Amino acid sequence: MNKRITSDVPIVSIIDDDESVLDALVFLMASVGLQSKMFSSAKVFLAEYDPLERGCIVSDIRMPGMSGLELQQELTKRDCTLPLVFITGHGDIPMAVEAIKNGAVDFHTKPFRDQDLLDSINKAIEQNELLQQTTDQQNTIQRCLSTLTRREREILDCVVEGKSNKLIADQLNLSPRTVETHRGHMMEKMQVKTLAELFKLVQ
Amino acid sequence: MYNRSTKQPSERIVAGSIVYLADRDMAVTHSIQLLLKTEKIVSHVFDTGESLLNQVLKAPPACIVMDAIMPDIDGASLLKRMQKHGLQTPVILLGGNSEIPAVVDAIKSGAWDYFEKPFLQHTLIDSVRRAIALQGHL
Repeated sequence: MNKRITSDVPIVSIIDDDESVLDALVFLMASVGLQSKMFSSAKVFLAEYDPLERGCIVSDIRMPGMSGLELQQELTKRDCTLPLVFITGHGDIPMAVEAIKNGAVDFHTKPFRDQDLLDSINKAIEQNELLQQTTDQQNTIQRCLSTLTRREREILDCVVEGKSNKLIADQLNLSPRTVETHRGHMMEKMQVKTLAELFKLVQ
Repeated sequence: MYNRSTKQPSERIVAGSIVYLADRDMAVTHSIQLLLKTEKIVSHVFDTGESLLNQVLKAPPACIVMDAIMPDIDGASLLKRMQKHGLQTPVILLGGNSEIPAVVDAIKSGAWDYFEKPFLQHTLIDSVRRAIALQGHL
């Protein structure tokens, strides 16, 4: 029960003020092998959540203190990208419209079919993983770019614009041989072997 | 050149934009048309979903306000057919006795907004204005 949960396993954070709903959902998650955590209010969740965590949030809409829609706004403000799935006992149409327009993955009214909720959760986790991959990739590219010297960066920009070594040499007042050397270092630091790979990276 | 703020586009800017309207109930379309007119927004009324869609494909407006369930075509199918033609015109759907899952599906499939009748006039106007502003019809 209390085993350490690492951030590379997706975790479903469940927020509801109704303890019986929390218990039922935790049981449902466990039955399909998903890790989950329970929170009795949006405030408690905000105080405890780890920005590096992967997974998604399943939240009630109407809760004392902070509502689910207020939580959604707060998470947007904090640049939290964990996808939200809403569940509610007394939802109305304006609420549903606002939740989805603001990016919620789904909005389920109780009683809902377990499978419908699980489908939304799987979709949310998948969405979060895709975003995480893109962010990781961008971070790697940024890291590579930051290792380039100013000269190498200039040459990278020229190469991406499709300029030949000779043209770059003329433009930067270097010998073609020097351009070639810088270009070689740049490609090495960007961890690419072909121009096609480089274009794909920096496009 | 123009104020791009989506919150309060000035009247002058909205004046040239056209909104297409369609509802089963002509009383509803006429009252919305009047409402838009007081806001200096020009609108055209269509009495069937097909005639609306045909005109949308010929000359896309700045925004569409339509009954979620026209007798000949529902909002979701209209959205799908518009998207097939690469049209991203904002569509505001009006429903009566809608079920939440249907509304959720409509927004997820790309509807700009959804109002349950009867709605507050200013909420519809705000939504139309924001849709027009987003469209780059400014």
